[in-house]
Amino acid sequence: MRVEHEDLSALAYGLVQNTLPDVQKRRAQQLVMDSPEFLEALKLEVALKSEVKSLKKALPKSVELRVYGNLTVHCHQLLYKSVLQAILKATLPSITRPIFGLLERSVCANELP
Amino acid sequence: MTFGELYEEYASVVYGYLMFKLRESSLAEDVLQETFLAVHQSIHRLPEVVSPKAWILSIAHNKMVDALRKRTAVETVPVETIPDGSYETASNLVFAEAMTQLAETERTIIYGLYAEGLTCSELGQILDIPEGTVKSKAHYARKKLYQWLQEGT
Repeated sequence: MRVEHEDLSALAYGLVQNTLPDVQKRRAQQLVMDSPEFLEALKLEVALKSEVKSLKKALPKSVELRVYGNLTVHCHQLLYKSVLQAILKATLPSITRPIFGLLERSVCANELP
Repeated sequence: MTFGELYEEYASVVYGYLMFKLRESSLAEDVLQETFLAVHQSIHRLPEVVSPKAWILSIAHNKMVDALRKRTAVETVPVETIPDGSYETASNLVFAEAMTQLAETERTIIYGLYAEGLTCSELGQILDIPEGTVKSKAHYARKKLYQWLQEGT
């Protein structure tokens, strides 16, 4: 049975990425033994994966921690603001709402760590 | 999955993607933060998300486009302009040169397929293009890169 070149490339890609279902994986493994064409396609796929992966930059630990720290502060601010808003809205008499609006902008937005 | 777990698992994926696209660490860091802020705000959607990786990367992609637009507005540089950066090894340099033969979308598709193991469907979601288009672009880009690898240049 003649296997099309496109098919070989797709099969080689699947084998390298380990995404083939068992039947196709067995077929690919058989082709490694029987088909020099498939072996060539496989070599290209392995080389391509290795080259592309070499372009990937790792996340420096310092950046990872800094960004997470910033996110934590921001999330705490949002949480604090929403909790405080709910409590104040429920407990303060309606006449104080305009003042509450002013407090919300100046206190809740700026005072937390 | 908690927000902390999402960050631990995908921050490096997002940063790698942003550095590949932007090649500028300070901007990549800003966009990384914007991305996870958006993730935190929409974390209630997570149970209905099929692929968290593709979901987070699509947010990162959109945040990156926004950041480039803002910069364009300030610096009057075209949005398509990707800042130049340096690669660490000689082998990278040569391959990076080969990658420049590809269009921007094709480069992104090749990176997503090989560096992150994304599927064509996930890449379609991230880039907001049909899966069939991803497949055809991947096919074309692969052919070009195979040729480059075979020539050994």
